[in-house]
Amino acid sequence: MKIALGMILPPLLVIAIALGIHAGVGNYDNGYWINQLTVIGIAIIMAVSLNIVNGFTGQFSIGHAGFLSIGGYFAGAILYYGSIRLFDTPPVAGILSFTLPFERFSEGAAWFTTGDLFFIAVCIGSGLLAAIVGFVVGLPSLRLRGDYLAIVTVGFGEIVRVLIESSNPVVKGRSLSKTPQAIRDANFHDLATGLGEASGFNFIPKYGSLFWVYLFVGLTVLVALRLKYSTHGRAYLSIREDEIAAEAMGIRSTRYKVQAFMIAAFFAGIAGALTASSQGTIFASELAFMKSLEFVVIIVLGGLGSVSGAVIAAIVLTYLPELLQAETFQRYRLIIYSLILILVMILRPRGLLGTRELWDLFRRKKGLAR
Amino acid sequence: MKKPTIAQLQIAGVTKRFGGLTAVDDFSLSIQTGQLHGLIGPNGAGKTTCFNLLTGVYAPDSGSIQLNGKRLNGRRASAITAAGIARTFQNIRLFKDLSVLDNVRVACHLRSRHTLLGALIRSPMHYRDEKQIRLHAMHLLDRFGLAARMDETADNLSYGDQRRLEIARALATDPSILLLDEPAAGMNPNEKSALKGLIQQVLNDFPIAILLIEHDMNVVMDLCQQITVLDYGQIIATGPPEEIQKNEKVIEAYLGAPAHSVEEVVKHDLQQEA
Amino acid sequence: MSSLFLQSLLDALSLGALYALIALGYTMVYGVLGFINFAHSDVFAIGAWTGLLTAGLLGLQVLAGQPTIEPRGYEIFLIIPAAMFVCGTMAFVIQRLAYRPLRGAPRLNVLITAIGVSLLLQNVGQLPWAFGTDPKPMPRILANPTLFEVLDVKINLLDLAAVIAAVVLMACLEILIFHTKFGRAMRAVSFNDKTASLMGINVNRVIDGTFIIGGALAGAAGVLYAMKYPAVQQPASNAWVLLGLKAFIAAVVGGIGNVRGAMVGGFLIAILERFGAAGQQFFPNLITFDTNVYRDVYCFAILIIILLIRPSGLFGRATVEKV
Repeated sequence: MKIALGMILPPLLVIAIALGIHAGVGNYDNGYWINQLTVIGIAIIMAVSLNIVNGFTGQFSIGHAGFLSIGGYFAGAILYYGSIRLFDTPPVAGILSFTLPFERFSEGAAWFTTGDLFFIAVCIGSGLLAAIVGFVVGLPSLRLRGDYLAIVTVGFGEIVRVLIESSNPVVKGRSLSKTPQAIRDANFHDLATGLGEASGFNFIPKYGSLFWVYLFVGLTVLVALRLKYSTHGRAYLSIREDEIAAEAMGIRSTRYKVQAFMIAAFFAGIAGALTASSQGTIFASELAFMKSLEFVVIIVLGGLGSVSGAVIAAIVLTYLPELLQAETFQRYRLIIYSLILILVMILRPRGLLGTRELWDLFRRKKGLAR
Repeated sequence: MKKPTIAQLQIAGVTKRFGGLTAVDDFSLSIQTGQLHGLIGPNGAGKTTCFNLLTGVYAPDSGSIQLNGKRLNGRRASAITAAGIARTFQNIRLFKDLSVLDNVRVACHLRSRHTLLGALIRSPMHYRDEKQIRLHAMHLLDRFGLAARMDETADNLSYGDQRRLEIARALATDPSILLLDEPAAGMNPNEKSALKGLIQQVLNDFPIAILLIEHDMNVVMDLCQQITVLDYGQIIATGPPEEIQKNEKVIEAYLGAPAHSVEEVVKHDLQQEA
Repeated sequence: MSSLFLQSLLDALSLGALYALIALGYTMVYGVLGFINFAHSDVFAIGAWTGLLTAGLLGLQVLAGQPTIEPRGYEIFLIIPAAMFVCGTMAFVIQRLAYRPLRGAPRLNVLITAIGVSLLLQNVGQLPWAFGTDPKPMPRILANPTLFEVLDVKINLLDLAAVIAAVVLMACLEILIFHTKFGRAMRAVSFNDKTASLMGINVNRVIDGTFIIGGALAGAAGVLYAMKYPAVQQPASNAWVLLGLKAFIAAVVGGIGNVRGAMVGGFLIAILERFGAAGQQFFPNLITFDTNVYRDVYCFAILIIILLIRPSGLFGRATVEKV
């Protein structure tokens, strides 16, 4: 009974929270908050997943935005081209996906439709594609340590960006009404390379909603926490602490390092799909090295290895600049960020929470405390 | 996989070179369950390198390492640990930021059978494994007198406790051969005598063989049934403690060649050069 | 074909000289302290801007709608040392304030701090009272007569200036490192800082010196870069980051910590980039895609390949962790 509860209750909780946020804020006239919460949710997914590589396993990846790009462009291409090729027109989504006026629900709008199924499949597909790429990027980590790996991940992020920016324009018809026909007529190669050059991939059908964003936020956090408190997660942590000792304890460090990379990439890919489908556009030039650094800053401030720390830091650092909209602050925002980053590194080398979780602070002398 | 009741480690003609330096030269040794074998020698004699070769940190250039007839050289460290050789480190390598309990639980890793997915969906198998691992870890900590400190960060333990935790952690991998690298280093006389009792007890209670590197001659001579002496990477003597204590080569290796005045040495060197 | 080859080679040489100069800063800091100084790319961005400002002080300015002022010849000998001085000081200050408090801290921390310093420099540089957010045109600070002409390719002074300046600076560095007392101290520290300090070497001074030299070289590289590509990008521009990354790759490919390796690596990366970019022109029948688009990809690809085959770089020594 207890086991069944531990197994099922948290996922149900995740769904409930996602539904709650969607119902509470997701009404269509709430544009500002929907937008803010979407951006925050995606930052949480990125930070928590990056923390699995950097915080748990002690590897140093600073190309995480590259996975977001891959997931986002894949999702964009499938949602836009794929929906027309497969369904003729993007299938209608249910109340979970669409930011409908809620009155529609009483009028009998469906909860879950083919459109939702299509969308969720694309999300998972984006994650899987990113995970496969994550496998390839993780491979060098078998031979490289620390900062060399960091450079490889930067290189990876840059390669992804350059490749996407050198793609062809998005396939379009001369007029809006002719576009679907143009897509139907295009061959596979045109569609696969028509990713919108340096100007971004636009026109992506907006299936993303607060429900889906927070469903995946919840899943990412759940996976990270369950990993941390399990044999597998302890193997990650031991690699971070001392790779040679971990090997001597029978832990196959190479396997776990690549595994960590793949899990992190999977969720970053999903974050990409959510970005593309929530905003209707994805823009590789914005997802360069600097974007990856933002996620690094978040997890460093929250505490390398702390899931709750990453969540809190993601919320604060994403929303704070919004809160302090003042012109002067905008200008000094990144200066303050970088000063905080340097000071935290000098004064609190393990970040604000270290490997601890928020609840560890209330239970003294417990668990993974520093 | 059930281990044979008597395990046997056989090392034959193992050699390792680093550039021009032969760190370990033609090292052979055989040890089986219930035995406690000492490995001594002056600093830089190649003792720790032997351990590193046995545990897969380095691969030997030649020779063979066999556990129960299964060849182990060239395998990676984790595979060798899985086969049944565990070790402690000369310069303590605990997982410093993890708790005492987690240090041991990490080493119980090989006991878990559930997959990553099992851990993520929290399958019944996961709970069973975790419970069993926790019990096993607690049992070991209890035996090493560390149970009361299980939530402490490993880094916060006293030096003696850290050494003991390393042994507990190595035992948690269920080894049939345990390699202890200077377990008494940095301990005071009281701690040392307690350690001697502990090692003896481990040997009695667990179905293992122990290979011990130690500089403290009291510890080595009291505990070991057999001792191998290394100097400049070569075995210069093997035998029971009483024999080793009398062996001239050993005395020479430790104290230097007897009765050479400075002039003699210089003269000798000059002759060599000429 | 042969003129294309010559043109590409010329480009590669002058670009390679710049990469090498910047790579030296990375490799020296890595050799002494063992971390990637991410802020290095910002130091040479500041070098370029210093060059621009100093040129302005000397009366060389590009003003919209006015004819360019021709340089009198001596300016470059003031501008480059000024940039070297500013950047050397800058690097020194960064090391004192940000890196020294972290001596002995985990490498990850130092790396993140370096990223923090880099962000700080970029964003301070973007402030309106600093350099602003718009690219500015770099005035001509050296006359550019055609020196000679080979196979229809005009070889101008500016094409060679970077190469000559870089080679002179590298020769000075070579003498400094291998033939002076300070250089010996530096090599000792890079080998083992603890032992070096036991031998009476003032490690802090060596580290300070290393940063100053690295910064000064980056300053010179910044000015030379601005002369070659006269639109000076704003300090937070991706262009600087990318340039810094390529120089770092050059250092890694040559074997990080190895001064001569960095020089060779710089030229190697530049040759690869230039000839890779011109690949389609060389083999128009074989290659149908536009190779120039991917010019930034080649060096990352070669980096990954080199690291997988020879993780310690072409001239680096493999290190074994002591257990």
